[in-house]
Amino acid sequence: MTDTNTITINPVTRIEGHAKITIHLDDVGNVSDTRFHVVEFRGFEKFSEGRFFAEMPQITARICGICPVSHLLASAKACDAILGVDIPRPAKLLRELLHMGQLTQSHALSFFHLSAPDLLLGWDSDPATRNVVGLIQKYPDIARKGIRLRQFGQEVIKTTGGRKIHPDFPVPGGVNKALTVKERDILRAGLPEAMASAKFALELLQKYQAANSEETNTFAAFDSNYMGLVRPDGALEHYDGKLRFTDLHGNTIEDQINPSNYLDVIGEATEPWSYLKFPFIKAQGYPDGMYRVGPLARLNIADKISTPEAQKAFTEWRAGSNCIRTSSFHYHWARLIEIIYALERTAELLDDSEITSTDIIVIAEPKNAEGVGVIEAPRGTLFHHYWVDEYGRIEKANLIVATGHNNLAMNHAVRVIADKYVKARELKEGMLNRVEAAIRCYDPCLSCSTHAVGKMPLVVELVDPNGNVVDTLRRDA
Amino acid sequence: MKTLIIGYGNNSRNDDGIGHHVIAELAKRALLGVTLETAHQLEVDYAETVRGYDRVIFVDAAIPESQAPWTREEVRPGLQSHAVAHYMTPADILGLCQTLHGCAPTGVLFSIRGNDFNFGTTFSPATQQAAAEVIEQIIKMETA
Repeated sequence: MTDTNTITINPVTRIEGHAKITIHLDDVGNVSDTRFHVVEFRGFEKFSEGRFFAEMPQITARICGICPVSHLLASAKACDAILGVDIPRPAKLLRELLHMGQLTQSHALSFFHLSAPDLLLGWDSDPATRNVVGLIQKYPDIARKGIRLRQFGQEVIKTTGGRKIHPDFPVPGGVNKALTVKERDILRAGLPEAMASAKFALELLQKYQAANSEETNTFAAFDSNYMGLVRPDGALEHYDGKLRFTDLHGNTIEDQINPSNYLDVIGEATEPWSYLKFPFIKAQGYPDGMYRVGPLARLNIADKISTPEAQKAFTEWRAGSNCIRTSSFHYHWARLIEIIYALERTAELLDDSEITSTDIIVIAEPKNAEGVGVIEAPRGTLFHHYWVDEYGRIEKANLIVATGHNNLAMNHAVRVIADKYVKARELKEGMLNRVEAAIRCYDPCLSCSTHAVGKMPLVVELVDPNGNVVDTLRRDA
Repeated sequence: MKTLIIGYGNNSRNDDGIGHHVIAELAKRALLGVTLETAHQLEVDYAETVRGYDRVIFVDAAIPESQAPWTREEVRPGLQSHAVAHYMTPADILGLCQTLHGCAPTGVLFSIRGNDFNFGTTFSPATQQAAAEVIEQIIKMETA
């Protein structure tokens, strides 16, 4: 039996899900395994049991302070299914408008606040300043664009939903607030500046990619399957649509699957060393059935984008890559294309004559014993599945969040980075940066703390088979 | 003078939400030239929000060990490093505004001692009394 050494990075994050990474070496110092552990137990699926189903949007919104809108929408859709209703069209438009605000603010936060510091200040620059504050100090104009772009997304959420964080706007059967003409016009007025900032960000990233193509094309690059929602015509879709799965070559494995039937295709495994489940494609088994979700996956599975500027950017995405982008770094690129789509779609929604309608809710009694709600959250496909008793109380809940779908992939990304940067028994500071950067590509809710403002303590210990610490890499608070 | 008043804190943790309560009460007074906002926490984005105001008043809960039921302090632009980027102090916000725009509004922080930070949406009597006094202070400032 081969003895192994273990490198532990803990904590990597300080999120609504804490995590650590362990890198296991064999006797000759090669990486034998990597693990991305989510060590915080949340328990939402369990403590929701017994609650009335209509409470679930407000309960599950508290899973996250960054993406409560995503949970609100998926939960409301699951509740709609329990009610057995098709909500009024104006309500769908308003929910999608909220969702576009969420996409805009979340992606802007991810790029400008969490990832751009690496790109603009340098991967190996001082961690104390390699953060959004450092970005503001060195590149105030760029930082300001990012701040205002995120603000616009948040204003869409606040204006549409009533507040920025945990709005109670999506409810079973529709929404509880109409959009006034004045509110619509205020949002419209903010679009030109937001779009200019989004395009600026895309150009910035493309210049970086052009200058660093070898690294960006191969950064934590690996083959995988992909999953996401698409429209009936195969176009990019975030609020509604059907599931599509493609393989590593871009060939379709399953298409136009009703999201309610996700369990026919997706299985979930557990591991003793993590509280996060490991979804996989059943037909390929665990762990071979690994797949990725989120911006990279969405652009890899889509045939097109319905809005013109985003479609133009999408054409460049597809050019010269044989249709599939495998580098984890390209999540950033996809994210920025999606901001452009979100802003164009926001304009379309605001121009729809029914966006200010007051026909926004349908009242009904529960008709079904279970309901599934699925949306494409900024980070990837989000499932809320509830089973209820005859009184509408939750008997069982299953939540698969984007970070969960990407769990195997994030493990693999860490492995790819570790293989490249961990040499024998030598620990390099650059390794920590790259491992964190690989995680940030996936923008899990871990991103906030994988990019702490120069104060995240990281200790990596190399331990021999006898439990002796033979090397330590430390970044103190 | 244009004033922005931000009451922030977690309004699902009883007294931690006292800033929200102060804002709700001030909203009933219809103060001229005053914009009211509530927030869970101060984020980087507020560096942009505060621009264009002459004065920013921050209202937050303080820990139970605080000496006085409430305190008032002037806030000067400054910048500290924190563990996470979505936690900023009033001084950070003004400091970032200064960095971005070359100037920052004057700042005042009212800290109201909290006694109960359990899950809930009610306020302890002592904190509520302190909040009433802070509200009167703010009204005096804005109507002087």
